[in-house]
Amino acid sequence: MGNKIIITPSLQARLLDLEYHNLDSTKFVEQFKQIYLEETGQLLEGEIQSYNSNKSTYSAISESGYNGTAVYIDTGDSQELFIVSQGSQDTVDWLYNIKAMFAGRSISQALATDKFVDEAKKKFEVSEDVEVTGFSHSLAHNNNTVALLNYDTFDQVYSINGAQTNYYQQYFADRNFQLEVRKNFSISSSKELYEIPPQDLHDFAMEFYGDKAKNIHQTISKDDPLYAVSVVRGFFTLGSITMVDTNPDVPGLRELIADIPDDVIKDFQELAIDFAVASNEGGTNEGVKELIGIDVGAFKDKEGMELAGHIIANYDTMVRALNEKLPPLLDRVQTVTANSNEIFGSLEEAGYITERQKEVTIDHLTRIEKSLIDIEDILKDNVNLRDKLNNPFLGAGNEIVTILRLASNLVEIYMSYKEIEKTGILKRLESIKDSHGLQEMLSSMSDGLKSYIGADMIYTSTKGEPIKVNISAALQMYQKAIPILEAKSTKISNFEKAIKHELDESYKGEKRKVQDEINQMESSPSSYRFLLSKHGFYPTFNKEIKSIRVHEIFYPLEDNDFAEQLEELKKSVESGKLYIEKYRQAIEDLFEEEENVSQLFDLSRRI
Amino acid sequence: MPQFTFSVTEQLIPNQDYTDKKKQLRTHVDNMRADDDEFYVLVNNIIVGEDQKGKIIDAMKKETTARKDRDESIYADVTSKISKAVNSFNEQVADIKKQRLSVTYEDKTE
Repeated sequence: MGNKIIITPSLQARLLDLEYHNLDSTKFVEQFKQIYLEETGQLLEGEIQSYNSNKSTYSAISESGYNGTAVYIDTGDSQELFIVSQGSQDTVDWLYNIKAMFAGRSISQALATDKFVDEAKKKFEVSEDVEVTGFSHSLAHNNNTVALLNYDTFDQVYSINGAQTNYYQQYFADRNFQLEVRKNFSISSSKELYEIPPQDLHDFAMEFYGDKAKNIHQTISKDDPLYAVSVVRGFFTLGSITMVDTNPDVPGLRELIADIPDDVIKDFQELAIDFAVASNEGGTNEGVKELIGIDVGAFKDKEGMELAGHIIANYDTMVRALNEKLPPLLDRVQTVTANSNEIFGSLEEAGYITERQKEVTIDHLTRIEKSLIDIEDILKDNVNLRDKLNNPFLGAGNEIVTILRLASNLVEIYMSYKEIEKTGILKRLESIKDSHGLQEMLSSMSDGLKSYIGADMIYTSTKGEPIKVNISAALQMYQKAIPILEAKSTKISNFEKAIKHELDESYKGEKRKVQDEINQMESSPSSYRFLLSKHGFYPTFNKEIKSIRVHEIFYPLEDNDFAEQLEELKKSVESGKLYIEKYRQAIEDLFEEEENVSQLFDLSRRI
Repeated sequence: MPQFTFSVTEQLIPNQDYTDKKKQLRTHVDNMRADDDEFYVLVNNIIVGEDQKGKIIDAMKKETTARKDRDESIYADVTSKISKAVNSFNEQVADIKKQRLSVTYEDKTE
């Protein structure tokens, strides 16, 4: 079936940005149509439905951390299914990143992607020949390509700043690939996999998946940190690639990352594999236990005396486990601290940080390194002493000294972190994060007339002084202002009713109450004997009230006429409608050479 | 037995404070204002940056300011009118609750 829906790079970027707003179904479709109109100048007509993964009944989808929206478009002539998927958003995603892309030991989000597409097809009753297109950012690119390579989930995948496919991950996910790797590199176990020269494995994977790569289309920023990271072992970049320099002020981090020796990356990868294997078997707590030796899950739901009791009962085991597990972990951290001159020197040279930020950071990382070595020594001393005394408890004095020494080092580390933070380096490095985002990518997609601020489309008038007009906002104003004015009209009517209710009808009600009392007095005068004493007609025992006559006077209610104010409010609504048209005309005058501006306004009201 | 009549002004039912009606009515004004705010948020996002100049931009900015001022003045007038109307309502209801009446009684001792 022909792809009749226009997909431009900026439409992709804005669609992916929209997905991060977690809108409800109606709002998502409305915004999608709006973006489509702005980007293509055409109205997306037909039946459009959306379905978000958070509505899925499959626990495999929610538990994996996958987030995405399926959009089914039936124009009458053609049908298409779009799957718009989010990148990393929370801890679940980041833990998945370590397990899936660094260790290569999980594809649960790719499985969830496939399951979600299947669920969406059933929900929309989509036939098998309908084209399924995946749009992805960041982690979602890995999910979509893994789903495409292993399950043919998508016909096409379009990605921006994606986390690349990983050949270690594919080795465990794709049996055919595994068999071919084993045959080609003569390996008999998965342990040997990590010993194959990464470049050889990379080239093999590129060739193996060459055919399917034709359906993958990527736009990548040269400044995206994920692009930089994709140079390390594991990642292979599939599909047609459009490179964009989204931050011309800096060169990007790829060269810096490429300079890291492969054995250092391999060291970190081993940690990630240990974590992934343990957490795949026993959950995240088991993964953390594998890294630091302590079962953090056992602390959960314990507090006060129960927590203290748990720590005392397991103290010896915990200290020994920490002593065993921390050194290899700290060795990896020390790889960073020991190379801080090179790392931060390169960042300064590339313009990411200032000289002062570099100096303060290196100084404090050296201090942090010293504290980490101290922590290692303190634990070692403590365990040695236990072994020597052959006693799991060294006595309160010794234990308190150990705890105080550990605490003092932790405080030192925290203080150093605060000093580094004070230089503003973390904020400065935000620009690296921005280069991974969709908005910087959108900004780079500007031409003479069109540019972007956030995800909004901006037109710049070149008549005289350049004037920037937010076309997205203008169309939204034109589209939504009438319903807002109509809502105001309803509120004016409600106000009018409230005046009648609170004043006119309420006054009538009060009058009725008074009249009821008058009737009561006139019909049962004897019940009002108290009037005699109240007005001094003593003694009262020998008097009887025979009649009461009330000379009632009820003036009509005054000051309740709001006619003038209501008239003014109604006029304001009417003049609002004229004002909107005037505004439209003013914008059209600014862009009179752009024929489509007028059309955009017209079409925006048909969304 | 002789009958006598006296006339007095009497509070027929107890007074009540209706000031709360101001709040009830002003809520409607606040709701209308909320619509205006939403309207102006849409309008104010259109021109990028406060410092942009140009004949068309200046004209629209002027028109927007004039419109906002006019709307504000209508709301101020409505609010003041609500206050006056409810104060007057309070006084007028208090007035009708007091009426002049003639009481005729019989003195059994004479």
